[in-house]
Amino acid sequence: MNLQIDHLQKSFSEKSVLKDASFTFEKGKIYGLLGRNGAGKTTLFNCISGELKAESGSIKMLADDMTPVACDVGYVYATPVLPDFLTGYEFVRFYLDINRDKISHSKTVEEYLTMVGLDQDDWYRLIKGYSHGMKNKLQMLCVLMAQPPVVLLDEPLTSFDVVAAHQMKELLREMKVGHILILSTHILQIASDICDEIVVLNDGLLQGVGEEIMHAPDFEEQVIRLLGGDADA
Amino acid sequence: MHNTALTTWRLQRSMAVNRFVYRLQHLPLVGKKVPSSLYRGSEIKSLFSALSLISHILSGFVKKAIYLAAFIYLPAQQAMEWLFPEQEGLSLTMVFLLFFCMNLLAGSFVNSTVLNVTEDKYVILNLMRADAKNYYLQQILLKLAGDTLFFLPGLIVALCVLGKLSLWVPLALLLELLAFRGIGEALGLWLYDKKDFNIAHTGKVGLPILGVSLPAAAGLIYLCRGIPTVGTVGTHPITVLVVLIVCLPALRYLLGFGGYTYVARQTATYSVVMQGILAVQDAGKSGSAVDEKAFGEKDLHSNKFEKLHGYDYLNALFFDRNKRQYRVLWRIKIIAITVLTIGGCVAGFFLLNTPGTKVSTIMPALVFILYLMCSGQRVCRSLFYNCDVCLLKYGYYRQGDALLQNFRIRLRRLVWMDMVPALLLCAGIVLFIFSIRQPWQLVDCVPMLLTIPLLSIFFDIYQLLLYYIFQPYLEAGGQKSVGYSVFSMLIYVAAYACLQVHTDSIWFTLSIMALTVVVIPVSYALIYRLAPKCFHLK
Repeated sequence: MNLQIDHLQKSFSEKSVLKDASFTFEKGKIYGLLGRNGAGKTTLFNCISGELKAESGSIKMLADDMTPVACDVGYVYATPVLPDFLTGYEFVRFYLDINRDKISHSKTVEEYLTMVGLDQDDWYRLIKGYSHGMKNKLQMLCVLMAQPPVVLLDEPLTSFDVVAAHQMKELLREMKVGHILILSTHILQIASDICDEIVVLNDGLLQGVGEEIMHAPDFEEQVIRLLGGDADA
Repeated sequence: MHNTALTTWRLQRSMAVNRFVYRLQHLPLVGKKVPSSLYRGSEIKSLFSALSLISHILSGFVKKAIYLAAFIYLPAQQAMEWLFPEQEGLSLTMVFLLFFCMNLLAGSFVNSTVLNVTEDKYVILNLMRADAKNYYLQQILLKLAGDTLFFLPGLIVALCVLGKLSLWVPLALLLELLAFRGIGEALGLWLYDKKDFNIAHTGKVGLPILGVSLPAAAGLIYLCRGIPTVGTVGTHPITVLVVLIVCLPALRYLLGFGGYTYVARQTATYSVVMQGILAVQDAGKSGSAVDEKAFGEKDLHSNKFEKLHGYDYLNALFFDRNKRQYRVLWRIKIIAITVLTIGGCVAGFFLLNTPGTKVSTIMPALVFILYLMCSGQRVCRSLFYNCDVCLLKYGYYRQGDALLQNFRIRLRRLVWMDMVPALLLCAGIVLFIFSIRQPWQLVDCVPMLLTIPLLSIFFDIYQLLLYYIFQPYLEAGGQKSVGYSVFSMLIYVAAYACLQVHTDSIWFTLSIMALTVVVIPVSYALIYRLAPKCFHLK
């Protein structure tokens, strides 16, 4: 199964964000999506998840030649959006209930909460009082539970402490088998550390970064150049 | 001070123009034709700036004119008609008392130019690092100048031309207003500085004060109706002079106050301004968010809904956690119906025991009453801002089956919430029939008694259906949907028009019953077909 993005175009008012973006993401890999502020990373994610409709081009799951539907795509937002009136425990229970048919492994709510390192004291607190990192853990947990074929992660690791970030990286690495994980980040170290491939979104176009660049000593300079910046500045 | 004033002025104009362009771009149909290049400095932007200035000035005059007409002239004129029907023009005492209560007291002491939270304060004081003292004093000066400019023509027209009072009266009232505003500003600042009390945060105190001021003025007018000297003394040059002298220490305090920078740091920071803006938006969002402190561990770790699953579980928790929001209004409805029932029964027992009284003729009026009693709009707004705004981000929540399940569960809860007042209303009508000692009318009223709960269900379905089809609420607060506004207006007009129908015809009742029965399956079909496309975030 591959996720093929073909000549995707999207603009807002007169500003063309995605001009002719094309790329094929393969199963079993974690992709790092790099782009400057306002390059269109979130727009691309929103198009893949179906939240935005592209003006032209297509997004297809190549195994079945179908446009991905909502349940094929898991989306971890940079700013977590969770229902404040629920406790962490209640939210996970609710999520388990409605995705029961998609969740293959039979863990309990408690086991899931423990899996992402959420303290037991916090299970029965309203999500409203959770920190950014705790909310992000819950978002990640949803993806880990439902295991959708495509997972989009918008700046997922920046709000975690060192230990939590390490745990999350391990969980993502375990999850990548059989899935396509696309991770948008500004931090090159995260990209090079966890991602199998790097894709640059610059000037509305997607461009893969060769493996030789990823492991080159001047990786950072080369990526900056690809992003249209001056590496010597 | 000159530079600060000029910068503030430019910034406010620029923000006004940008907002105007933004709104133009979001107009249906034509919005997409408005180019973003308008945000750039251009001749058109200068034109918009000039137009925005003119509209600001004109709206200043219009707002004050409407205010003076609604709260000073018309109440005074009405009071004249009741108390002195033979007298021409307005009574000076009435005008003075109204102005005194509404403007000099309430208006001056519940507002603070310094402490009120605005976005441009944050930009000017924090981002542009303007001198706080200069900025605040200049803002107070502008406020006083605006009051003078905008109030004076309205006061002259209302009091001299229409009210036939002397030209001195508006001048005297205006001078007193300026003095009271100055005293109000100084008092607000003093309370904040010395007592840590922010009058800008006292919505709970300020609003009742404003609400009480008109009845207080009415009471004073009634008490002083035979004492014309109250107005004469209140607007006498010596009184005006005394008020102005009393204002001098207040002005001295404002000019000499050394803590403006501290006040700016405390009240015009990004978080405070955003909280202020969110609070205003929350008011528009109606249901405020769940208060974490209101729930103990017992509430949050209970087995109350253990047997429920999926969307039943989610909605049960939502309505349980937000019940405080609905309970107040629900109680008001119950109390109002109970009081009306008791009042109606007492009046019916003693006054209306005539055979000609046909209770079933109130059916058309009940349509409007039940429309007003419907909680649908309030509940939908609260559902959106406290639940759907988050979960609509997720694909599984936008699926047709999920939407239909949610609709069914929410409808059941909404119907139950409104059913108790509706049934109480039925009971009230039955009791009223017995109180007028005409139990045979019960037979006539059976269709009406059946229609009341059905109508309650109809309005609930209608409101929930509109919510799912048009989803009018914006993530950032506010409302935007032409379809929603049109269909909301239609049902309001239809319900209101029923007030004008004078019939006890069984056909009226039957047609409403039929409409309600038809709308239930239709709404389910519409939700299933349209909501997956239409129920999304804006």
